[in-house]
Order: sequence, then structure tokens, then C-alpha cells
Amino acid sequence: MDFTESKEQREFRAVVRNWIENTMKQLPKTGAVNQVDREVNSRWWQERLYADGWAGLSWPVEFGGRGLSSIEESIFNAEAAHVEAPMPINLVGMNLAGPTIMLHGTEEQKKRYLPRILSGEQVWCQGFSEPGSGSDLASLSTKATKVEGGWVVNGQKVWTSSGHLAQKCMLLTRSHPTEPKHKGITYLLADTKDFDIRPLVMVNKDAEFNEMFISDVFVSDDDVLGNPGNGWGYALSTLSFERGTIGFNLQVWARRALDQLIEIVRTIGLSTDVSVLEQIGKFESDVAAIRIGGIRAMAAISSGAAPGAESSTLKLLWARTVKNINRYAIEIQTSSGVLVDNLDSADVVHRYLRSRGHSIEGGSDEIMKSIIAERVLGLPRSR
Amino acid sequence: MAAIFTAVQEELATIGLSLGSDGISHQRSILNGESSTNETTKTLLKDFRGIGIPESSGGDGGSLVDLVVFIESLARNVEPTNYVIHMAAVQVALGAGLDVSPAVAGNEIWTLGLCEKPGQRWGEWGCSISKDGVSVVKLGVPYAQNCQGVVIAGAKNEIALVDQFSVIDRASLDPSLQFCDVSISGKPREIGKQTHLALLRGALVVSAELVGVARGALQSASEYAASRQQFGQFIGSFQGIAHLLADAFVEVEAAWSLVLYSAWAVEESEADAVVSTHSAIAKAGAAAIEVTEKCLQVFGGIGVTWEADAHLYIRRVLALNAILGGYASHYRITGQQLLADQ
Repeated sequence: MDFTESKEQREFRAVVRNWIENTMKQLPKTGAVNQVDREVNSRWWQERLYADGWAGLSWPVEFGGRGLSSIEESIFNAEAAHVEAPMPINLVGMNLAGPTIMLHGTEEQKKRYLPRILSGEQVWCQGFSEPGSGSDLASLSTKATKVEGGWVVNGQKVWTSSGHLAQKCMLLTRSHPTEPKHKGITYLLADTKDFDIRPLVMVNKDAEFNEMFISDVFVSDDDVLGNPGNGWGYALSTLSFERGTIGFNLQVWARRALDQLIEIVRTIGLSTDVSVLEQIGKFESDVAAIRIGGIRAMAAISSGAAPGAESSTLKLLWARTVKNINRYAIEIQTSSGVLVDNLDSADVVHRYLRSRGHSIEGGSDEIMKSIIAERVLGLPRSR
Repeated sequence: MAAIFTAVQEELATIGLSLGSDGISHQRSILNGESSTNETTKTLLKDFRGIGIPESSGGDGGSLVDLVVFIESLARNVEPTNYVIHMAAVQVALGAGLDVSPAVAGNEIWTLGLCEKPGQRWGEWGCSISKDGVSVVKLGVPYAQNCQGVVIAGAKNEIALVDQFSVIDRASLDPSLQFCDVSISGKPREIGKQTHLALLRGALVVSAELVGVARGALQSASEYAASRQQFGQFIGSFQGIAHLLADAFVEVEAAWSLVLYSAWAVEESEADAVVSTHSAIAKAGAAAIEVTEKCLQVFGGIGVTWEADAHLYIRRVLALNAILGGYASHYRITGQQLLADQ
């Protein structure tokens, strides 16, 4: 068990840090930015990543990536998050759509889509969840009907991150309604231009997610991923990429939340209060455990171990920790903590409200716990 | 070099698990007032006293990480043994630069003396240690009646090894973990040259036992939940049970990651070794208590009977947490460390 970063990794980190530092100085929108400005920054960040060869670090060279390991990727992500760099506009494309197409797509699909993902020319979204299919994803009912040369799709998707920015959609459809639910799903690489996309305003007034209404939208046979009817298996690949990529970035977000709380504690002069110190200590132990757990999981996977339930464990711990830190940041300031008439305090409230979603998005706490119970603890299926 | 177990560590874990496999029945014997000695402890003190101790000090080489890996797996079935505390005391002595050869060679068994009054927390010890003499009563000293040396901490966290003391036996809630009041009077055999990280080395050894006991309790409760039926179903298929155990798993894993990292960080004198170790000790104690209590709940009515094993895990972790000054004090110190940094 050795947590030392190798010489190569340290050097890589230094190069990354230097690039990020320089690039951040040219960020188009600075200061406390609203969602529109954030998206301007995100698009610009994607272009810079691509131009300077930082997009697709862990993608194979043949698809335009750098062919590095997930460790280098996590070093980059950690350094970027540390200075609150923007999220690239095509995060979903680079982390989910690209790797899924590499694994299951035709040569023609790889050629057509992969380069445009890294450049950000085509932004992707994930058309998985539906109003009637949340945690029970395989019960989805968006209908695909076979027609000459392709499929006609009708239905509704929801919770679609980046849907309002996307040109392409990983679209799960019910194509074989008489088959068992896991066997009648077709995975389409659909254009979004004919979708009716409406933003969903969240509790903090941001609108990162969308509803997508799909009426008689034609998708060509060329845009079917793998075999019609086998989409569930490909969807599981996408979900495993989602959990994998989330897992290694979690700790930085949690660390940032704790750093911000510590600043607040100092500002309001509670640095020696015993109950506050104990609470900060608890948060620190959880934040550190997320970091170390991520390093251990990544090392295990790099050494050839099959991914286990580590990402579920880390995601549970992360969601709880960030939610609790953000709530404590409000509570501890008593009457001034709930004010939204100044930027600092409004930002704390904004982050708190956003974090309520952490235990729901990307697999709810309840689903993560069932995964651990079944796969790690050997308990019988609980749903 | 990576954050995965080495081949040696994998082997130590396998051996630890096997050596501790009869722990429950050993603990039962003691609980029933029968034999308090067993072959496991003899084997441990004979063949495994050099783990994680440099060859220059007469040990087998390896690191503190090797030792915590071994102890975590040894502890899964609450093996009753003074080996863990002995190894913890030796690690403190090593960290303080004391001569550990009598303990490593097998001539002496040592223990740890920290607390001096009820309610005292980690680091609040008041005794003064000088080469002319020490006069103090240390409370809750494990296994002192069979020990030749007590590694004690003083008011400035200085470390000394004393061998002139008298012992009054006390009964702890874990009958295998004998607590003693130890009256120390006379000149210490040796006073440590350095204190940095010394006590934390020992506390990590004890924390590894806390994690191992918690993991053992979790395994036992999970097996029960997968075999016990009510309403025509295995109770582990009810989310009320399944999710409680999943939450427990998250806590055990968090504590274990912290202990492993801290053991490495202490050996490497990493900048975050102190804050990380206090957070590890805190998490190990808090998690172990929470997890073992949850596991008892899973057994339902049988869980609160004398004959069920659920209470054996709880007894052990409450006693170990007490030896470490209580997890809350380590959370507090962790917080102090963070707020002191600027």
C-alpha cells in the first residue's frame, strides 16, 4: 500500500497546473457568474481543451485522445476543480457517449461521432430517465417503431443534463414491447433538432436539467447502437462510465465545500467552539475518506481488478458529506446564513439547495445501498 | 508502487484471518469464566511480534501499514489477546526512539498507560516525567498485570517506558480486555527522545482492531440477514435491513481507508500525517460503535441475549474507544488542526 505519486505523475501534475493557471486567466466570464455565463465559460473551456490537446486524456490516440490512464485524467480533473475551472460543455459526450460508442459502435459511427465530441462541435445529452422510469430505468416506455430505413420515436424524457445545449442524444427506446423489459430496448444515437426541449427549473433556480418531448422523430438505421433490442446492455456500459467518472472527481468537490465552510467558521469567529471543531473534524474525516477511497479504487482498477461497488460506496459518502457540509454552512451562521440579499450568503444557499440533488442524481442513495447490499454483503435482492 | 496491498500484505491478511478464526469461542470461554489463555496469543507473541518493526530494532522489517493490515484481519472475530496492545505500545516506543529490544526479542510484554482521571480526553494527560522519577496513577491500562513495561505519556506528550509499578485489577465490560489501575513510582527505565507522531503510531494499531471488529460484526449480521426468514422472505431482502447494513459498510470502508492512509503517512512523515491520523482514529472509533450497534439490531430479539455474539463486538469496541480517549476528542483535534492551519 503506497500512496506516493510517481515522478511522472508529479511532473504531469505540474504541467497541468501550469496550463490551467494560464488558461484560467483568459476566462471570458469571471466573478460570481449566472448559469448563462457559466455555459459561455464551459463552451470556451471545451474549445481550449481541444485546441491544446487536453480533451479526451484517457481516450485512445486513434480516436483523437491522448491514450493516458484514468490516473492522469483524475490528476487533471483534481487540478481543474481546485481552481474552480469550468466544466467542459461536452462532459456528457466525453465521459459517457464517446466511451460507449467506442465499445459498441460501428467503425462508421466511431468515425462520424468521436472527433466531434472532443472538439465540442456536437454536444451530447443522455436520454435515459422518463417521468415513469426513474430508478427503475428498464421500465422505460418511449416508443420506437420500425419504419423503412430507421425508427420513429415517440415519448418523453426527463432530467436531461445539457439537453438544452445538445445536438445529439443517447436515446433509450422501447422497440420490442412484447419482450421482457430488459430485452426490448434499442439504444439510438439521435439528433435533438426535432425534440421539444424545455428547461426544468431546480430548487436553486438553475436549470441544468431538461424535459424532452419527442413526437414522431425519425432516427436512421445508421444511428442504432449495436443491435436493436440489445440496448439495455449498452446502457449499463454508459451507466458504469457515469459512476466511474463521477467517483474520481468527488473528493475535490467535497474538499472545496469543506474549505468554504472553514472560511465561514473563521469569519464568524467560531474557530475555538468545541462543538464546531468536532463537526469540522467529522467532515474532514469523511472528505479525506472519499479522497483515499478514490485513490484506492483507481489503483485497484489500474492493477487489473474488476470494478466493484467502490463507486457506489464513494458516491453515498460523498452525497451525504457535501449535503451536510452545505447545510452546516447555513446553520452555523444563524440569522445571516439564510439571507440571499448579498452574494456570499446567496452563494451558500444556492450551493446548499443544489446539493440536495446529490443523493438523487446519478443513482439515488437507495439504489446505491441496494447495490452494496447485494454485490458486497451478499444479501438477497431487495426490490 | 500503488495504493493496493502488496503480496506480503495480502499474505498477512490471510494469516491474520486464519489465526483469529476461533476468536468468538475464545472470547466465550473468558466470558464464561473459563480459560483466559489460548494458543493463538502464544503464537502471536512468539512468531508475530516483529511485524512492522525495523530489522535494525530486531524486528521483521516492513512498515506500520503491514501491522495494521495484519491486525485488522486478526480482529474480525474479536480474538481476545494482549498482542494488539503490546504491539501498539512497542510502536509508541519506537516512535519515541526508545529501546524496544526486550519487547521485540520476546523477553517482555508491554502495555500503554495514558488516562489519569475519569473523563480525561486524548492529550490532556497531566503527569510530569523526568529522569529522577515519575509518580502517577494511570487508569484503564490494558493487561498490566502480565506486563513488564508500561509505555506512558506525560503532560507534554513526552513518552517514557516504566517498569516499576503496582497493579490493581479492574473489570471492564469486555472481560477479555483487562483494565488495570497502575500506580507508577520511581525512575523510568527510559524517556523518549522524540514525541512527534509516536503516540499516533500506537493509536493506529488499536484503530485497526476497531475496524476489524466492525467488519467482523458486519459480516456476521449480513450472513444472518441472508439466512433468517420472516414473512416468508429473507430479512436481508427488506430495505430496512439491507440499507442499514449498506450504511454500515460505507462507514467501515471510510474508517479503513483513513487508517491505511494514515499508517502510510506516518511512516513517510507526510505533511498531513497528524490531521489524517486523528481523523482516522476518530472515524474508526465512531464507525465501530455505530456499526456494531446496528449489527445487534439486525439480529432482533436474539441479538440482546447473552448467547448471541452481537454484544461481544460492542463490548470490545467500547473498551478500545475508551483506551484511545474517545473518538470525539480526536474529531475535535482534527478540527483544531484544520482551523489552526492558515
